[in-house]
Amino acid sequence: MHHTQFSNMGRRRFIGFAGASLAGAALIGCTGGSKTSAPAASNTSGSAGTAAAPAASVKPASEITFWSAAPASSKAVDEELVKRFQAKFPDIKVKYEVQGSNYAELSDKLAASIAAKTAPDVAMLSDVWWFKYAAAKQTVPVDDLLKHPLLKEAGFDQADYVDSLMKDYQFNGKQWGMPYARSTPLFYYNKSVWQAAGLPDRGPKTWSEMDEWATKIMPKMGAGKFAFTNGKGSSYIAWTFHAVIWQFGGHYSDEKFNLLMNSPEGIAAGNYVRDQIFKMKYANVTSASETDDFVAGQTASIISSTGGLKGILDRSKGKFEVGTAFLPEAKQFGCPTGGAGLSIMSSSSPEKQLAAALFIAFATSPENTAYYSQNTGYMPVRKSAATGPMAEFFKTNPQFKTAVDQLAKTQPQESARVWIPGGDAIIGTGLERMVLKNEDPKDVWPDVIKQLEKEAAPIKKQIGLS
Amino acid sequence: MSAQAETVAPPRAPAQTDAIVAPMRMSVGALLAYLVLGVAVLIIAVPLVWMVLGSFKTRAEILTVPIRWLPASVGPANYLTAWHDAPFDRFYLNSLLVTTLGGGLKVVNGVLTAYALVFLRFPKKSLVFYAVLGALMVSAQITLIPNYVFVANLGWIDTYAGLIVPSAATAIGTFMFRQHFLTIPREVIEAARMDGVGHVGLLWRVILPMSRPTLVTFSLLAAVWEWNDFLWPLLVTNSLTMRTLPIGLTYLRSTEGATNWGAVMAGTVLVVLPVLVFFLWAQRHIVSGIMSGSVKG
Amino acid sequence: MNSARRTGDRHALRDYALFAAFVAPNLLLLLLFVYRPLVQGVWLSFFSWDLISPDWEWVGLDNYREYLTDSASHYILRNTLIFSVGTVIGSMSLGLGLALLLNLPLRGREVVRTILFTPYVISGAAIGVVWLFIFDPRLGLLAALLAKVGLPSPDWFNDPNWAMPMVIIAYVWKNLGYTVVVFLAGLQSIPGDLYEAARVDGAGSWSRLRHVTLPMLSPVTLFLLVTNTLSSVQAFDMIRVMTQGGPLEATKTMNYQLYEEGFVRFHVGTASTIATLLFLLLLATTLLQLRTMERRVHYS
Repeated sequence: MHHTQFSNMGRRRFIGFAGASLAGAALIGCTGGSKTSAPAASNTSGSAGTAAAPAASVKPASEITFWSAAPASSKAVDEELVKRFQAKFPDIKVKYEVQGSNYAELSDKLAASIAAKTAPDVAMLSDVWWFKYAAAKQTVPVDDLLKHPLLKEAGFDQADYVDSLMKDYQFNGKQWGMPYARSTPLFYYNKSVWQAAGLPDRGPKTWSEMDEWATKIMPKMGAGKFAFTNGKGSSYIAWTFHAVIWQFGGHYSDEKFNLLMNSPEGIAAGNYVRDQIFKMKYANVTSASETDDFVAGQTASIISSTGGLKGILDRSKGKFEVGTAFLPEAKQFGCPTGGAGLSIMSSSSPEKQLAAALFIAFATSPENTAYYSQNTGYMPVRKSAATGPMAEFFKTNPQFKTAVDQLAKTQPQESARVWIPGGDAIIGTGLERMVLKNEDPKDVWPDVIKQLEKEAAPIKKQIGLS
Repeated sequence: MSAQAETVAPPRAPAQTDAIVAPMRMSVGALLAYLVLGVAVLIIAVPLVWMVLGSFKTRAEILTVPIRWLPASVGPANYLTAWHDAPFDRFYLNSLLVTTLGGGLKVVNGVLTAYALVFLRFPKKSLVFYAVLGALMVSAQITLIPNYVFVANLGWIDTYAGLIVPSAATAIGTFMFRQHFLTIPREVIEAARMDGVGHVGLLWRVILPMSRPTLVTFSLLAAVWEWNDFLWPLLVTNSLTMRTLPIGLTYLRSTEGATNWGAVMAGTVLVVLPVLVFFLWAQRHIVSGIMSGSVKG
Repeated sequence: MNSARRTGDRHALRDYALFAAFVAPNLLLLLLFVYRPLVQGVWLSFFSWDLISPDWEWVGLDNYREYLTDSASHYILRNTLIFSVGTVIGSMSLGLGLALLLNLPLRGREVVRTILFTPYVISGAAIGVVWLFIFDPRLGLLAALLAKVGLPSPDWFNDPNWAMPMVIIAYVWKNLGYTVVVFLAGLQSIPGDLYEAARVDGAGSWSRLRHVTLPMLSPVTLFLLVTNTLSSVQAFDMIRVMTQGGPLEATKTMNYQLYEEGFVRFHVGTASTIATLLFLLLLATTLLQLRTMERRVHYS
């Protein structure tokens, strides 16, 4: 598999070059084409393709730039980690810059900076963004960087990272990024409502248990309120539904981009979510944000990101107690990972890449990932953090422990949502047809697949899969 | 010289009273006018009031059912949070600088180009007008990356030049001033020319004084555009010390997790206030009607 | 005769030079920062390129063929038209009415003007959030107010039939101040003696509105019609914050699609194709507006 990696470079590379100097001339306009195309092209042959490992002799650079989207209000937390790094490695200055308030804005800026050759050294890329940058050879695999003796000295231990979180960034046998601000879907429930309905203080083990419980919950909720609320297209329903399709034994796709949602299982999963809304009538779709609905008492339970855990606890304080639980099962358990990781840019020098790797390793050390997790709600990315630095925290924040316990059972997401650019929105719009218009998944999935196939074609070509 | 200008453009009584009001002073008409304006103000003001109220609410008071109309207490907590989470003083300085220079250049460019288009001879000058106007039809999204690359090649990333120069041109201002200049009576221009006033004199002492409402209006609009511009400043600046206010607001928002909406509202109020002060000043000049000049009799 | 012509030529030449000097800075900047990217965009619309990799491929007119034959594009074009016609009609009619009222010497009109203008001052991204708090059918202010009079809130965000009216209302609300202020400036520029003359001729207030105010306002009206059309077609912030083009793409306009194709799906060719088509569409619309209106516009 890995010699096919980016093996389309032969003839297409040549075409690419010719095209690049032509079109590059248009892009740059003022200074001629060679400026954009040449360095970009040399990047691809240099760092990405063969990932020239920094020899032990390479010294880390004295300054690197780190672009973040500061999700879950994490700017101050990021800054504290930078400060800690600065204390430990005073010779490597980290320029920390927040580039926008969400992953899309960060990506807008990153794309522009790549065209202008002003890219940073470390960039935060979320689940749905990193693959495109890796496929375009704008980020480098970190495998060899992580083997540098300096990292070992700093106490880096690759085996201690949570497996499912690492797997997210693996492609063609290489590691294209490291987990950082990682989340998973989590089941949140309103304990007061649960109590009033006479339910045990836990989440439903299965969806059929939820269906049964809902009949007890609904009378306690009052008119216009619901036992369960779904997200919508713009609030990542394609992410939470990823769990449901797995639970019913289905898949979005495989890693070869074969689209599998139009299977009996995929149809059953879609029909189940429809039935919750239109047949059993205990669920609805949020207007803007399911967490807002939950905190305002409009719904008794939601499935939403662990990234929102801290905010939900803060905002429900004094109103009701929040319970968290594993996602309900159907045929089986299923839960995807999500959130963002850190990638290293291919345009950076080996010295900068090394310094970047050092920073990433430091920022995800057990103590630091625990600090980050406690202050944002994201998952600690190290196994030892859960037993070590997080243990004390769990005592006062039991809701956090559920999320971390569930983490061990999570799986990386499938290509259709995270590797196909725009895949999330395409699946999300398809799901909206089911949950808003009660359309049959049998009619919806083929349309979704058609669109995804069209979007998948260029990226498959780019990575040499077709 | 100033005497000369005055003979051409004498100060006038405000035009507004003449429009429709005289016959309906304190009549049914006036009552109706108040009523319609009252409804309009209500509709426009409610979301604004909601925002200001929100800026004083705690996290638990925002987005509740039943709705929480008023904050329990009016304190500066959210404003302090906003100010603390983002260095607003520096953002104010940058925004002020960018707005003054960028907006100012827009006004100058708009006036000069429109003057040339209306009062100067040039072969096929309508083509120039259409070329300027055509710039309004280009979507900003498509210009972002080429302009970023261009500005980066100039070494202007993270500089005031990069913030200001690309937005110093104006198509809309040219259009606006042209539309106004075309309504200035020919006799005024001819009279001034007869007196031997050159183009610069004509522009400075006749045209501009007669264009006060348009001039102030466009300055105001240009200031608003510069003040609120988001995507370009986000691209072209990197460091905290070069950011402008709208970027500052993004430091208060967050993608996953729960944004502290009270602080966002407070930040928004902080960003809006200076422009409102400018508007309060400007509207006197837009509407005072001192300069509705024309040739006497 | 000869010398007179020569001085005429000299004057003309001086005019030409001054014209060039006055126009040059503006035109040069527009050429550099608007037309240069546009030309690049047109050029890129013949390529398949993903924005961040060095691989380019010439595809000729494929992007256009694909875009124009895609049924999704037709739906999005329809959305664009509905949004623009809705917002332009809303802004122009309400704007003119309010400007006429605000031109009267009524008490408190300064406050009213300030309030009307305030939404225009708030950045689109920030105000989009406020609108979420207002339109949310469960948690929003509007739902609470409607409940007071016993009405249910429309499902603004999830019903494709209500989402478009919602963004149109929000957009008109936000941009009305612009139209009002420009109309006001236009009203203020109407010479007072025209009204006096009309009154001497015995014209009533309605007749003065029809025969003095509206004709004298026509250049400003044309300006507002053109600029409101252009900016509504290019609306972006509000849609991005409020609906992200949803639900079910009901509020996705061409300009939003352009962004999504370019920056989310990484199809620079398609995004450039949309930008080119959008440019041509706007050019045609504007020329039509100028042609049909300019004849009727009353300049001095």
